Amino acid sequence: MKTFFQRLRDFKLGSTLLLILLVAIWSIPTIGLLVTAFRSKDSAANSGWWTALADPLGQDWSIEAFNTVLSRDDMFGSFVNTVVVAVPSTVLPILIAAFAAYAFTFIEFRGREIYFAIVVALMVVPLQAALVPVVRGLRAIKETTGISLMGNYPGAWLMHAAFALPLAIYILRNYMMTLPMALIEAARIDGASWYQIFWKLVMPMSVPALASFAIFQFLWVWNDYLIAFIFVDSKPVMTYRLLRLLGQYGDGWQNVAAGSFISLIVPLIVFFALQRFFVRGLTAGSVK
Amino acid sequence: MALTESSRGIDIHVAPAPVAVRGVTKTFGTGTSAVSVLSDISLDIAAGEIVVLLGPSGCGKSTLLRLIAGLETATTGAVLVDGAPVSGINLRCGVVFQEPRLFPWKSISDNVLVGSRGGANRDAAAQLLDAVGLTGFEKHLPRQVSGGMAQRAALARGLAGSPGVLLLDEPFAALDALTRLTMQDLLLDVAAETGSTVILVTHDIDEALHLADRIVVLGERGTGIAEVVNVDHPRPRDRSHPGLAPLRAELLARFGIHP
Ligand SMILES: Nc1ncnc2c1ncn2[C@@H]1O[C@H](COP(=O)(O)OP(=O)(O)O)[C@@H](O)[C@H]1O
Ligand SMILES: [Mg+2]
Repeated sequence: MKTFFQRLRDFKLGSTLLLILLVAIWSIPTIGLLVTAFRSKDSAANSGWWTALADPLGQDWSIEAFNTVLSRDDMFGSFVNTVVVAVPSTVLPILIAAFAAYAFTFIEFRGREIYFAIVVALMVVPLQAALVPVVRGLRAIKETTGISLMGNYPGAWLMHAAFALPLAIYILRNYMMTLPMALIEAARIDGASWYQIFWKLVMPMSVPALASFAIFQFLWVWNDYLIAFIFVDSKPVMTYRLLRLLGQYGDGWQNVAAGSFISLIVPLIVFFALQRFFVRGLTAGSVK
Repeated sequence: MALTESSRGIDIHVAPAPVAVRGVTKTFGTGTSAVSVLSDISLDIAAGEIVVLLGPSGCGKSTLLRLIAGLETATTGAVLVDGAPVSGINLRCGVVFQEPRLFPWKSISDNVLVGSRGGANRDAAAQLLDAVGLTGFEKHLPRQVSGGMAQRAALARGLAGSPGVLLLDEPFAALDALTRLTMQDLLLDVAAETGSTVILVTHDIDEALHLADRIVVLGERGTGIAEVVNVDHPRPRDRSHPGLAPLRAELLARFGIHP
């Protein structure tokens, strides 16, 4: 005779319920955002969004917020700015980290473990703590060489790339260590150079790790306010616009909500596009 | 696309080369965990000779092959291919590993092309695939064929570059008995045609007797070469030739089996 809990486990009811609960909790802020985005300015200012759910028919729903967001300021320009910040800030660290992880994994050189330990240790340096020294450094560079890395995209690219590198190298090296050495040996026997092995073997086989890291890094950069605010002040990004939508007296909640939803579209596209990759990467040719 | 477009001038690498193993010792690990796998192995193999390495499992046969290919470095001693010491990957050697080691995302025929090292073309690959009985499976991925078929594809890949020195590590162990005989004869044909030096590892005494000019018997791990047996029978050999019987009995006795 099976106990109740055994049955529960067999039907996976327990995990299903738990998952539903988790999804519900995790969705609450998003639902709140969605509801708020369709409320009028007055109702958004006067009552919580959940009250609207209690009496959906009695509400004055409106798409006014979306109109405001799309028409006011240069929302599309900011959108483009954010893309221009986010794409290199994602590709650059992944590429560099892949080179580094490859060397740390497959190439024997003196002091390899120590260098790797240093790289990993750098993960503990918080970005905020490094801001002032970095800004001073960049200013010094500008004064001596005339090359300005502040106030425009390259500063943000470098900053995002630099602070993503330790974690990226760590993740990618750990992943590359699981790659079949046997295949790499076979390729070397057939005359492949280290360069060819990197591009034709290691990179394709690392797609799952590359894709997962790309998702994290892209989301992080897309949602970043601080670095964009400090390094690309001439080109306002989405997070900056969203903050401005709130208004001087904090009376633009519904606008922020609508803007957030528009801003959300790109990370969603990126997520679903790359998710396909890492699922396929994990299963392709792995089992004989 | 082949992995190697430029890395190899065909001429020198396909020239049959003599292989000399000079006092090679190989120890894995250090200190208390050190395992001596090969001790003082010396062996001179003429260009075009077919040498079979025979020995109990774990005695270091694969390790010796890897040393010759440059995939391992000897603890002491040296390996010379065509008089030049081997250090790092030795491109004059082609290797067929104990496992197929095909690239899972490449088709069977593309895998064979990789082995041709940019030298051979699709026709040559198709010919080889035909020779190993894989016609009709060119477009299949490695996971879509059986283990034995994958190993035959790996054999084709190893032969595709017609390397001057062909190293095979139990290449036929995963094949069924009949296919194994066919593949042995294929190997002999290819070796006769290209004149390659062949060093083959097996634990099958009949296979050794059928293929070898010389059989090198390795002792238990770390004990070095136990015996070298010359097989002076003309080819093509008849597998049931009574002249081979004494040799077979001798080798079986070596492994503690008395027929
Ligand atoms: N990379 C390695 N590190 C440590 N030990 C190894 C390594 N490669 C092989 N060995 C050991 O060397 C011995 C011989 O291995 P191998 O050459 O594969 O034997 P076989 O004759 O069966 O092919 C085994 O005991 C194995 O554990
Ligand atoms: Mg072996």
